[in-house]
Amino acid sequence: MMLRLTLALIALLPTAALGASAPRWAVDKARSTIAFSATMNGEGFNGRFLRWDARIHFDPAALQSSSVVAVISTASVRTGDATRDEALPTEDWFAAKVFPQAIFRSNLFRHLSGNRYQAVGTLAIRGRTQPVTLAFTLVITGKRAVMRGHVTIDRRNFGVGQRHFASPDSVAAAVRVAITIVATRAG
Amino acid sequence: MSGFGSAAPPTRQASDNRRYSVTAILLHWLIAALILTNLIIGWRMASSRGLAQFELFQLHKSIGITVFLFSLARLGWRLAVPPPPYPASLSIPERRGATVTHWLFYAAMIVIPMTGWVLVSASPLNIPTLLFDVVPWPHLPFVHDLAIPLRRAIEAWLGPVHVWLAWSLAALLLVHIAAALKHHFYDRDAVLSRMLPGFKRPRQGPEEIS
Repeated sequence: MMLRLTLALIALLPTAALGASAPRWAVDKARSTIAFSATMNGEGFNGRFLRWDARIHFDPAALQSSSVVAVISTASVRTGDATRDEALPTEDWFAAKVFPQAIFRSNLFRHLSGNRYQAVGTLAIRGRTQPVTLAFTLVITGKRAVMRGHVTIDRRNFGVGQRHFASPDSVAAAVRVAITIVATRAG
Repeated sequence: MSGFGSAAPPTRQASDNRRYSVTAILLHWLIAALILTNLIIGWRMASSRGLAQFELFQLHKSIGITVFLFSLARLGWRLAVPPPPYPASLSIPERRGATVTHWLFYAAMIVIPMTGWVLVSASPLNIPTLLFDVVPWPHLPFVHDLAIPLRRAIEAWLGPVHVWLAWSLAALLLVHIAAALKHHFYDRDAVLSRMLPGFKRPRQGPEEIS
């Protein structure tokens, strides 16, 4: 599985390498998470992905040469409920057998003010690609960076939730993705 | 001479040869198969878990609504087209027993799915009903629009009622089957065969000589 993710990243490298004069950052997996919160029947629940990888080239002083590609294993989703975790990789939801990876690719970065940024890019889940803008804060101390970002997506735009769950009656359409990345500058 | 009066020995009458209509026979066996299947699914649902349980639930709902609709049709047909009269050989208690059983069936086949429909409409899980994963079936608005705590209460109370009624139906089914077999193999009358497809003539019972 990790091999597959790494291969996917390598395959996407040419995209990431465009103008990658920005230094590369090595992600500290133990301290980083790709998580989300959703609502079912009015009750919130949280989830995260156990397996993912990200190739980050970033320079706050050279945003135009920065890029991020993240590859997430959809089958590795965990929400703390056995039935949910059994259902999420299936055809009605992530269809992980057909679409084992969700992929985020940045197109450009914006610095808003202070340590607030935006990463504008595309997110591909379950075979559908949608534009997304990830708002994040970034604090760089020496060679260490802590990034916290979030974006709220409509799962219906990706076809996640079919048949009984196509309508937002039982599972809400809005899903808030929350990302925490701790990384060390490698290059 | 044969005639009325319980003292008269039973003889075969012309009415013994009358059968249920093709529509009645079709609906009877179709509904019987669906009910039997759903009783089994309902029983299995309780011990299954996770996604498998979810899938069984959806199938159970689909079959339940189908039974409901077919039973309404069966009832409509029953009211429009009277069934053949009981064979003359049936005693008064037997006739009464049969009549009660049959009307209990009509009640059960309509009320039990309705309790299921209310349960699904009340459930805070709020999962839409898609018959056989294709045909949308609405929730009951006057149930679905109630406040959540009230819906939970309805669900908690009505759930066991639905199950208890299902067990009662299963018991009724056993009585019904046993009676039909008794009539067919012991009394050797037309009661079962007139509901069986393809039989033109009831089995001949022993003739009694007055």
